[in-house]
Amino acid sequence: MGFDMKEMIKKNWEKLSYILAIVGPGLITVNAGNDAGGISTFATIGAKYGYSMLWGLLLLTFALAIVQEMNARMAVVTGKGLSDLIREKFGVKWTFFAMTVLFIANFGVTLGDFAGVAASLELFGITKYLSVPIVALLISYLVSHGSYNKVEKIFLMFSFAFFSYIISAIIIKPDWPVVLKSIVTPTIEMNSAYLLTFIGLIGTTISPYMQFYLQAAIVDKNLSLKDYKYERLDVYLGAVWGAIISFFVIVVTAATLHKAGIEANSVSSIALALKPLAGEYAFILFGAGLFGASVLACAIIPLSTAYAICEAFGWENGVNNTPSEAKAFFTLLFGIIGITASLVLIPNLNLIPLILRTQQIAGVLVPVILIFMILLINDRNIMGSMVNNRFQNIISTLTVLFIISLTTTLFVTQIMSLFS
Amino acid sequence: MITSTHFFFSKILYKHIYNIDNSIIGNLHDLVVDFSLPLPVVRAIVVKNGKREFFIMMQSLEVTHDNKERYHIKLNSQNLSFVPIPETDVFLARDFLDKQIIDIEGKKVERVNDVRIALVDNKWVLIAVDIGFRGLMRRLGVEYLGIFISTKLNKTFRNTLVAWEDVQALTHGRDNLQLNTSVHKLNTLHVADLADILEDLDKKAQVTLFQSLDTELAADVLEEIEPETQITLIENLSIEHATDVLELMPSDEVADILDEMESEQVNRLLDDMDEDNSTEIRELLKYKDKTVGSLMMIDFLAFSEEMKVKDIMNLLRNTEYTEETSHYIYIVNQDYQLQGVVSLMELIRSDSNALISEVIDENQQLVYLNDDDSVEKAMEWLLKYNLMILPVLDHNHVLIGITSTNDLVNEFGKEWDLI
Repeated sequence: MGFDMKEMIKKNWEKLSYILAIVGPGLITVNAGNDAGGISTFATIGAKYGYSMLWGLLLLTFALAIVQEMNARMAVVTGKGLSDLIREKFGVKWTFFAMTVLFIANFGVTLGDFAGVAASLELFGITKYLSVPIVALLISYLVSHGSYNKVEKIFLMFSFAFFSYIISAIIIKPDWPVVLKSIVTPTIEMNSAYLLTFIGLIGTTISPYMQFYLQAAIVDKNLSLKDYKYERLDVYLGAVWGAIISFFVIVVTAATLHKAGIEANSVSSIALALKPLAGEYAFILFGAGLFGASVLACAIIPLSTAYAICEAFGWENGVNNTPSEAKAFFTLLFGIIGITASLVLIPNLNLIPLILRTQQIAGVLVPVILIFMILLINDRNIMGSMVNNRFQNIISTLTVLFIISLTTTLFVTQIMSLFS
Repeated sequence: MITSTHFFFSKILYKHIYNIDNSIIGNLHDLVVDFSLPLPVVRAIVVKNGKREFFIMMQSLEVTHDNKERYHIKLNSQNLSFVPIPETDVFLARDFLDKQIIDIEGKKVERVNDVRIALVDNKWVLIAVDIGFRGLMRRLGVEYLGIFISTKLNKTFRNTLVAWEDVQALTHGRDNLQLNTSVHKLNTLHVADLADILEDLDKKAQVTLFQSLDTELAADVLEEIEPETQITLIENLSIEHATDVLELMPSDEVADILDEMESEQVNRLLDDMDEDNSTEIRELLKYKDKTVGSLMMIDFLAFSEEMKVKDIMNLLRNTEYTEETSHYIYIVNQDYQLQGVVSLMELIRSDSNALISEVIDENQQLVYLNDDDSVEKAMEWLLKYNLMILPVLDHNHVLIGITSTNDLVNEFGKEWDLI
């Protein structure tokens, strides 16, 4: 038999579509990470500190790639979610601790995203007393009826509005040499405002929920060890893609708002950054992007929290169950959505500072989850020969130490300022 | 102090162990359990003192508790029997606690919150597994808070225990997850329940559990499982084992599974199968998705139009049948072209000496599908003619298969994420 060209093309084509099917969770996770909290944090950073925090973004992207690769590896090797692994290795008490941390962080981030829903629709003149309850009900319905997957793509499309930051950056011609220099020049200011903002950047880049969500998504794909190299590609691509958006939001806001001395303390002022590109339509563009990303996160985060906690404690979970079959699951799911949405309705709330605060809380809590992950992935009983190599251990441990020392410094400066 | 005859594992785990002179010799770090017995027996305890770890026979311990259920573990003699224990044995806290088990009675995958241990015939044995909320509270050290609140609410705070006879352990020893084969309890479960349980397990447990099923049960279970899991399971079996299982399944189901796998692997499996099966499956694999051909069954009962009723009845008596083939028989001419359909009722009621071609209702309008018809058309026709099963013909009018409402419901069910 000769060389069968047709067969070969077919095989290659099969292989490509096969790889494309594997690539996905990493990209979606990071995309959902560019939510209200993310965009607000990046815009504040650009407006307040110009390009000076870009070096931090570079380092954090690197750390994120390492951390998410660990999740991918754990998912493929063990076929178990992160909360399952924590429970099986550390027992009930530590699991309770980890889940409390996860709950606080995710509750906060969801709160921030409902604030994002409120803020984005206020740009269109819709009051939050109308928008937030409707969106909360809609999300609850979609998520609990399992039809969420079908609409996920619509909201994902909304968030493509953030592409406009890339185009804006090209149009407004920032001082690229300065930008590039800032990426490689670490600078740090020893005041609590700066430190808090930096911790917010950490919280939104390596948000605790991402680790649980990503690992669960990869487990659901039922990948075998031989597919692992594609999944690794997926998480690396995801980390880089997320960083590109964050980078351009910071650059654009730095080149516009920071230059003009405008503070990013409201959504309308953040939206101003897109004016050179979209003119009068800047508000629509920004509003749509913020809305899509916020709704996406408001659905994903409560859902993944409920899954993680129920799995850890062995409670019935999944939207295929009825509420009476999976009481804890639905209580958590609707509880988080309901309470965070209600809190946003408090009158005279300053939405942007609220959003920023939630990211900072998440940032402080990041190391807890990372420590659990590092201990798990170095356990040969769990990972066999696929434990971390030295390089991965150094980077992940340095990340933890860096965040902890940043948080400690913050507390010290706060206490010192009390005395002075 | 009262001598304990039963307790929960968490009540003694990490507690001090006292020597006969009341000095502390270390903490109870784990229990070594022999899982090969019908009721697992605690062989030894792992004592940890600083970095030092050693094993003591369970018999050398005396467990007592006070009225507040505080346990006290003490050695009962001067002569300690230290025993060497291989790392590969089952350690209760390390390998069983917090892991998944199957509750045979409740037909569910559960997590082990605690383990009930009791003194039976002078041996400490595992009698039940705690899967309930109270077990979680106990592990958190706030069991009495739970009891306090329940009493205030006038409720009893119950333990949710699964008796050991209803527990199928999954985890077994370090590194290698094994089923406890000496008490393989899964065979009592219904195939559909077993399939549900399998889907709830994590990947490794799925694979080990599936591998341990005998081929016939494995084939039945595989039919009931969602496509993605089917592929994982098949991919993780050896080629020989996989083909053994697949050969026991209807060809159309096998074709559905193989359709989703990489062609290289599919060929390897088909090459290993016996000729008859693999040719059938290769035929089916040629059909496009969503056509009748892709989901039809090629097992059906067809008889020559020249046969007599009694001969057919005799043949039927010795023929294997399935739900789908037990409604109608199909009558074909010598070129296998479909001539008519006879229901089993019609067959039974007809004159046994008659030719089957005479039994076919003359006014019968032959309803059939072509192999390249869409599944939507099949659905429409089954509903329109109110039939359970329709014959499938190729374009030469040759009978090549049958399709049932069941197949279609499955197909649409997958589309709507019901399965």
